[in-house]
Amino acid sequence: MEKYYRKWFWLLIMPSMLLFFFVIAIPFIVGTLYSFTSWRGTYFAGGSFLNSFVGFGNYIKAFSDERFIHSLVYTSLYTLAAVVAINLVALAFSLMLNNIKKGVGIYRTIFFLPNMLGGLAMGFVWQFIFQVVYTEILFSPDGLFHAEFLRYMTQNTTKALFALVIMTVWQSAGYMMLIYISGLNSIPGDLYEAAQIDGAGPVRRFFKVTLPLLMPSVTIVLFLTLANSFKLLDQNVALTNGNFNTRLIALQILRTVQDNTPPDYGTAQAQAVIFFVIVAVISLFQVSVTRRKEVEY
Amino acid sequence: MQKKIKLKAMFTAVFVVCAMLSGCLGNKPDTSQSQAKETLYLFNSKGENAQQFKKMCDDFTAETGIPTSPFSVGSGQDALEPLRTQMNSKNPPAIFSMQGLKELPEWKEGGRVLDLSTVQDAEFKAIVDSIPDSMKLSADGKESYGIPFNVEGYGYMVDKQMLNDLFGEENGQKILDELKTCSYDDFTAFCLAVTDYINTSAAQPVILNGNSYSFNTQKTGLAQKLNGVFAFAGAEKWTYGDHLINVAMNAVFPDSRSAENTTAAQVDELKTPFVAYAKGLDFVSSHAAGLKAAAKRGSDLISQANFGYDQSIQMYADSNALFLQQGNWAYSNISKVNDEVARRSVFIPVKLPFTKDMIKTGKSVEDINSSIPVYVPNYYTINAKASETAQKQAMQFLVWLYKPENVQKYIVDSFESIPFNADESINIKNSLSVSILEYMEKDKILGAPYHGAPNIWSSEVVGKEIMEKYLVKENWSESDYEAISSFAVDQWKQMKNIK
Amino acid sequence: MDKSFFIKRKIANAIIYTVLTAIAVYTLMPMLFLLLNSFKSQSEIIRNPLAFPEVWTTEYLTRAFDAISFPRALGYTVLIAVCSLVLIVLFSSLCGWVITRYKSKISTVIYLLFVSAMLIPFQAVMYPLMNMMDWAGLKNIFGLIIMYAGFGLSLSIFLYSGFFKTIPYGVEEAALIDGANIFRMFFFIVFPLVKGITVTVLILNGMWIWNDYLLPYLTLGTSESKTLVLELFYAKMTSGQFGNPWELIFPAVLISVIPMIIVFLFLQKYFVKGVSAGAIKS
Repeated sequence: MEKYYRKWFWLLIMPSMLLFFFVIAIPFIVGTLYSFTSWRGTYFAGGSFLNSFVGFGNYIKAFSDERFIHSLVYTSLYTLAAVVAINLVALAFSLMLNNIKKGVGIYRTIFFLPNMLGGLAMGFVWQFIFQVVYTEILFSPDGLFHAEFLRYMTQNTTKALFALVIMTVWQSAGYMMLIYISGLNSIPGDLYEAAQIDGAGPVRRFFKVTLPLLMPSVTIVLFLTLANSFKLLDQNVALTNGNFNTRLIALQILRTVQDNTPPDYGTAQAQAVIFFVIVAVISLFQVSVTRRKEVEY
Repeated sequence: MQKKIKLKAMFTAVFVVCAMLSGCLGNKPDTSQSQAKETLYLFNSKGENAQQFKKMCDDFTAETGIPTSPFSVGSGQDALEPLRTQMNSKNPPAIFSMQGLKELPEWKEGGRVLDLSTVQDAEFKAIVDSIPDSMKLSADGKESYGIPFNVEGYGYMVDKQMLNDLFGEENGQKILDELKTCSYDDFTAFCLAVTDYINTSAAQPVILNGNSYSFNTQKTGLAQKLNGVFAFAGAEKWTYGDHLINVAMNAVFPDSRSAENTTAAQVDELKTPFVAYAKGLDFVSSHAAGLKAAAKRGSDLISQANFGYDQSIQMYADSNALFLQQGNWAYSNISKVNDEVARRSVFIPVKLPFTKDMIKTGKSVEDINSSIPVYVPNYYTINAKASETAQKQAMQFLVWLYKPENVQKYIVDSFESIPFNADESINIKNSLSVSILEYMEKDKILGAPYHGAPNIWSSEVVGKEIMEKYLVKENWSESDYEAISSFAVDQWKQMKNIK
Repeated sequence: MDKSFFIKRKIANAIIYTVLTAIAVYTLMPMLFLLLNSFKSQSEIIRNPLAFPEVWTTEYLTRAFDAISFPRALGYTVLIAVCSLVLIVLFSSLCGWVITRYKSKISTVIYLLFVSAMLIPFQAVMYPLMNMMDWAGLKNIFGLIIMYAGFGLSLSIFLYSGFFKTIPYGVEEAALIDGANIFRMFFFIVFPLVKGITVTVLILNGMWIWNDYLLPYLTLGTSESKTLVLELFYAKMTSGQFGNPWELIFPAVLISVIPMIIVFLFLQKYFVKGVSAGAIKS
């Protein structure tokens, strides 16, 4: 078999590889080269590529920028919270849906709906939710119940982090749920029967059968939430736009360009590379760990 | 083997279909027409005019035979990223736009912007020479990089009918004229009286420029809807970070060029005007209207859902607030909510508690407090790296656009804006534009030195500090004024030194 | 099985349904907000976002329908989405399959390459990519499709290779012995087994392509061939320098999301617990 697959290997991956190189790899390599120059977006300061070469200058600049470091820390904290929250919620959704028969389609659609909405309207909706519904209606002193922490969530560095988590769980739990559902669907039903006959309860069944067989999905969902959380931009802009020290890394990179005239694309590019390396190390580590836990036939 | 062929055929089919479809639907301006005459690429960053701009380009093509291809982006969003990608392309725009001095270094350093003062073409030179010195896009005053797109101005908008309803038909216009010239103290006393009147339906007569006017004894008409003096957009940093602080900056810098070429000592001179600014802002933000009831300064005042741009427009257009600090660009927004209000609105100057010693430009306190900022928000610039032909065509286009009949037809009628060289021959209907023209005719105008301040200093640094630390606080003290002023001055110097 | 089991089952079911419904209501709230405000004027939206419309009128919906040139924009969007998705599914399923089956260092490297591609922030490749596209004469719909295919591949290969692993070799071996060639084996035997994941790939990629703004904006700009999102941004842009025309945005977003909901409802019937191990082993 091995031999057979090997024979076809290159032909089958060729189209994907071509697209990959053309659309992602080459631009990213070029972009990485730019991070060693004082590139300004439309020209190189100093004339040519070679003349504007600054070595690791941009990297040093990036690391000595407080705002960059702060956004790195802030993004990591957000990612930690979001990954846990989204995964648990998505897994809970899919398990619940897996256990019912009637109305599965409707619930699935409802949970998935938030994903379909474009960004333009969502900024308004969520600002309204946090600034009016939460602040004035639900959690104000004469509201449903008084919770100062849930008021003015967009006006405080810590609270805004949780506001962002609330918003992204709402948006992406349904998305990740789909992947868990696909995973659950591919678990052979007879394994459950066997476990049931052995007298295993639901909890035991979950840990002994479901979870191990769901590991491929866990790998995927963990990775995707990790990657998406690290890259989060639109929601950050929509909710606080970086006010009150709430810049996530992607917004910080964007602002590095806007904060300087002429625009400092070289440093922004260096920040992007640093960010890429950090995330790549973390998530590749995660993928290799969870992948080892997967069962193969 | 046969199956393999089938599959290959499938692959090819998909590609062919995609290619065909995109061939049919894709835009293909660059190949077909480029042989005869070069296409003139234009980059327009006044996106709200996108349709009218396209129409204008089509008309130009019809008259001259030069094919045009405009690309518009909204000025509300970041226009620079798409401009840069356009610049990098094989067909870069020959005409692009720049929003003032802050954007000049980038294009100058990249060698993309043509110094128009070096152009020989007589017709074009005439336009370049006709740009008043204060409107030149130039860091040193000698070069000239752009042709003004239009001019804009801002101040406190006020609805004439509202003044009638507060003070009686016979006094409305008089009050308006007094407000245009009165002192800061008269102005604040007036605002306090209006606040009293809103709260108790009764107030002492107001004294403006020594003349006394009394309120209607009963709240009538629009006055019944008032709940505050100012429609204040606390969530929009630029309204106080850029525009309000710009008035204070006029005490030291008459225009953006002088702010750009400043010395540390001059920036220090801004300290006292900035204290005046802080006081003025304190007053405005503590007499703000709301959508349902008067606003209180605090966390609510900076929430986008209650005090954003749209909300402030709504308050003003629904007569909840007497004044709205905005420019003539807001006309269309107001008119969408209430066209009557838009058509009755005029500007009065934004006033600050200046004293004589604060002002270094030779103007008097009265001058500044009776003038409104009028400036060029956008310039047409020519791409120095475009081909010779393209540059020629670009000039031809601008010469065409600035023919008097086209100025009226496109800039005034179609874009509904004010040409930089507006005179009596121009026929403008928009009430806010008419109001700006009046100030221009009386030469009661201020500059836009904030365009010459360090990049992002005004809105993203000072505006942000004020929003996050001060607008959320109920009471401001003298030391807060000092702190705001020192912060603004120190940040400016620090940001300037870095570069 | 005894009676108590069924009672327990019933209670469990009741609890699950209660929880699900509660979450569904919570999830739907912002959507209801969108729905409600699609029937209101700008003033009503700004003043009372939570209130019911004063009059139920389709005025704003029809206006938005025209403002975003719905039929034409829908055509472009569907065209772009469908072409991109065909490429994505075709290429990524083959690639994902063969790198799971052929276990070698190079497979792992390729897998990791695609995985790490998902971590690249778009801004980091934007300018070089656009320059390349421009240089290749691909700043058009065709180029857009290629870019979507390129960006969509990583996630899809990641998903496919995760799931191909759970499918036993057995079938493939049997098919080979029967003399099927590799494409026939893949498309007629292996591919149908991962229908569920193909649907997931379609939905997840289709969604971001549908809602994406930056790529079409940079490639198509303000030309005639605008996608739905682009039309909406254009309509917003031409409505004024500052502020947002909510009375246009809400109904336009609502209209744009309806085709997606329909497609989703149609596709989700493929999420079936179909892949029973028994069928595969035999």
